[in-house]
Amino acid sequence: MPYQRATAVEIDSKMREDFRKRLKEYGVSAESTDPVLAVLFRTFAQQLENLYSDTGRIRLALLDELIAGLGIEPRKARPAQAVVRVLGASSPVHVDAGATLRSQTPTGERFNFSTDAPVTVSGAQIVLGAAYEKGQLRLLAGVEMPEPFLAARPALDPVKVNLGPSPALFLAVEPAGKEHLSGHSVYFDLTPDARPVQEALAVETWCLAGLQGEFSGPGILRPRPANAGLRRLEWLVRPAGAANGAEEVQDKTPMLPPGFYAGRVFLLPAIPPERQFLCAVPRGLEAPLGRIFGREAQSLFSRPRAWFRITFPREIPPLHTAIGGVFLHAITASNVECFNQTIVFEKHGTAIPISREGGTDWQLVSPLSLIGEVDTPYLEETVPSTNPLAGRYAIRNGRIEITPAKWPDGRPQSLVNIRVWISAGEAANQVGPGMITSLELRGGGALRVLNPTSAAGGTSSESYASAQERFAAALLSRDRVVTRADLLAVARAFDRRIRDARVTSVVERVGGALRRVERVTVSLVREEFTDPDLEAGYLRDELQDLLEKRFLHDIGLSVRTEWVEP
Amino acid sequence: MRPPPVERRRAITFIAFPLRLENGFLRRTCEVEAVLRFIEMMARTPGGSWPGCPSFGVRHLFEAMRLRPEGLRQAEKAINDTLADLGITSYRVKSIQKEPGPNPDVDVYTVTLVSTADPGQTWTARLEGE
Repeated sequence: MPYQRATAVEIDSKMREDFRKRLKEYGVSAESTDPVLAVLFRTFAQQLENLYSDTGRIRLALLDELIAGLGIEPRKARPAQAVVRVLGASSPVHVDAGATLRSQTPTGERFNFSTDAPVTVSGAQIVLGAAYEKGQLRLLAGVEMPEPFLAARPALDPVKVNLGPSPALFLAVEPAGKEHLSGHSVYFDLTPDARPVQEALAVETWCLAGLQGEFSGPGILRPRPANAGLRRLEWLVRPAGAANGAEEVQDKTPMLPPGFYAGRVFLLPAIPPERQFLCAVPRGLEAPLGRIFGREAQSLFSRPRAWFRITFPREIPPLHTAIGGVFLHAITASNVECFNQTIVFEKHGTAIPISREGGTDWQLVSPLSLIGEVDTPYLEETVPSTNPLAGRYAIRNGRIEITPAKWPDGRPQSLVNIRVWISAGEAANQVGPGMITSLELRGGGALRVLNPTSAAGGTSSESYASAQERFAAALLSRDRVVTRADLLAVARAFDRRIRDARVTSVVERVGGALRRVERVTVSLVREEFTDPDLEAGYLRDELQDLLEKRFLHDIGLSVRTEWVEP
Repeated sequence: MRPPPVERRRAITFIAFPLRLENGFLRRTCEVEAVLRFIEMMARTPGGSWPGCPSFGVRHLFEAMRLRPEGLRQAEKAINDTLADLGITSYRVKSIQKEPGPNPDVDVYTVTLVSTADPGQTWTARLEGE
């Protein structure tokens, strides 16, 4: 039941009502209010309100401790997030994660933003965007085409074509010079009612057309959640020698939960030479593009380009109205800064204000490090350790409470260096379109920046109700698969292309002994895959891997796939 | 058959300020006097002094009256807001006027209180301050 805090006026009103009732029992009427009694009642009510307020703080502190004890993400401020387009690069320029962007509001306030992930910008440009749905292909009005394409006066009406049952988005990108699109980004500007499209974009596969214009296994990319809600595209078939994509370093930028623009910016992976596919026109698109661009189509589409296809589920709302624009060279940036302070315990004490709740001008986003006198890191209060000399810290009521590390002879150390990520919280939401004015590049250089939309999503702290809900959900599930219903639910939720799932318990001979095995069979529809056999194999292996991590220990599990009719 | 008992009810008496004991009980006064005393308390208290009622206290307005004459209207509003906030609805301040006094260092004001039930009934009180 939510905790309701009574205000002084409400308490005052209740006390007066009770007082009047009691007087009435003695035959005394109190229709008029005695000023002295009114002052007494209100003063008493005010004190009670303060008591309620303290109780609320205690509840919040207790919840924070429980959350920390379970290792769930702590209750903290969310930084405002903006999308910035980086313009003016003719050759590829690498913008590091944590690059500083400066902004100024009309009231003169300045807020700094940090890029959420590294991105490469160049002179590459999108030359065409088209939506395929219900057997028709049409140009996306929100994609800015280069002059020669506009000069051809393309038809804006849809043209009929059969490219399969699933809706899809096609993007043609002209890379800059010989460079391909490694590390480049794509931003989708979605209309406010495009929530289903955004949700689909977050999980649907992309495919880079091959040299012959075919969409096949080697070109398939899958989006994976990355920092602050970015989506990092990963190869389905990992190229030989490719490193894992998760290379974010917390020293450059904090690991943030999904921000306001989560699921709208996609980062392309490193594209090895053998996958730097370019083609003139993908298979099946020659005829409809010919009808859209007329006689000019042949010359416009004679140059090889990188063509992407993003497939969508069939029940998706119209793509051509949901997508307001598609842009290259954009990245999300969050209003976070790194704050350093050396704490001398004798002078500053061991409870240091760390967010507005504790009296500072900023909000804590996350602690980065606490380093003791001999470069030894401090540990969170709940992290187990066998080192009795280790320093500890906990965050309570907007303060970081430190238990100093000890020297080998048992004396406490005298100072610690604190590094934390801080944010202006909701104040940075006032950064409007165009107010982010400069980008600081490591190693110098100048690139123009433009934020086409407002910064948004900044909050000063998570509310009690929201944190309690999150805590309850984590406590109830703990992400574990225990019952048959859990198993089915996790299997069905793994990929939207899984039409159905069933579980049968069988006994199999394993290593000469009989063993109980839960056999999970998932049903798939061939038409929903670009390369059905290849993708189904990966889907099966990854689902098996996920279930094994979360399923009961020492019970066998096997996942199978089967093809069904749509 | 016995007639129903006649309800005999007496009104509560008002506590006089400052609080004094008289024959073992708090000294009492009439309603108008209690409200006028309350307004006097407000006039002596700076604004924002009491968290229980933010509009309570108009001393700062009286003190700045020579520089900001519009403070009289603000004081009237603050007093009426306070009366309403605390549920004292039988009376409201009709006007506050500065009176000429013999000593130029001492400001004298007349507060006129009006009954909300009968606007024809008014009472006045003098407030003095340096």
